[in-house]
Amino acid sequence: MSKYIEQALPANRRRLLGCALAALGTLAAPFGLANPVPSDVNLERSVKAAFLYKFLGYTEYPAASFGDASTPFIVGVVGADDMAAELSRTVSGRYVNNRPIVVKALRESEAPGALHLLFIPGDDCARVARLLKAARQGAVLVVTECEDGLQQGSVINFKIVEQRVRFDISLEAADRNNVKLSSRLLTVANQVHKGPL
Amino acid sequence: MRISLLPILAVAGTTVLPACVAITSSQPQLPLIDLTLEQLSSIVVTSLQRPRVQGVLPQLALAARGNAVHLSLAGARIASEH
Repeated sequence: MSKYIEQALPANRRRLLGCALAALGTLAAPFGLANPVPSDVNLERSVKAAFLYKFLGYTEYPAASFGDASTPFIVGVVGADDMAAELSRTVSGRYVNNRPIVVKALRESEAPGALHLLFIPGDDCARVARLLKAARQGAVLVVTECEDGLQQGSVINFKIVEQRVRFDISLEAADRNNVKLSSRLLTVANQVHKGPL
Repeated sequence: MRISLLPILAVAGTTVLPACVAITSSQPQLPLIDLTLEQLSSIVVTSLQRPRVQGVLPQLALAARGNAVHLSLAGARIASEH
């Protein structure tokens, strides 16, 4: 509190003033004023988590990818527990095509197993290439966020364009990975690559 | 010197809350997951992003001179003198 206040108000008044300001903060809390400012990193992560959830709804998988009508979508996130936790929170209680979603936090050394979506966070393209080589099995939508993600074999690659989260798509990689992307998703993409990269 | 803060609280409360409601009601808050692909693509995520009402509380300033306590809030000046 400023020196003005200290000089002008006796101690009990200063305490009361402090309480008054605290009360103002409390009153403002439901309106978002007292909440901490989310960092840019957190917001970017939250937006990407929302996109990953959305991608499932715009991707067609072979029927053989699911055991039965109640088989969940399995989403793997490699080497990023914070992102896996964010995605788990995001999809909690949500369904895509009447299927629940299970998020797995994967270690880099771990075989991913059967997945419907594999997200490899991080901007190290060499690491992405290595992980993709190990992960190639079944119909899986691979999503990355490194600069040359599509060149490494990813189907969807996040990028920041004009401060916004956008994504590029490789249709060739989608074919190779045995998944079909809806035209609706293609219209929102930043760039859609049809042939070899 | 007698300074009553109750009038300040009362006036500030009625000033702050309607202002907040007015600001937030124009931007309904949906969970990110419920936004469309286009809406997600339009969210600014890097350093220029600021919370929607930031700028209100930082302008909260208090000053006491003599027997007066002045509470300045977002340009509004509220004073109580006894």
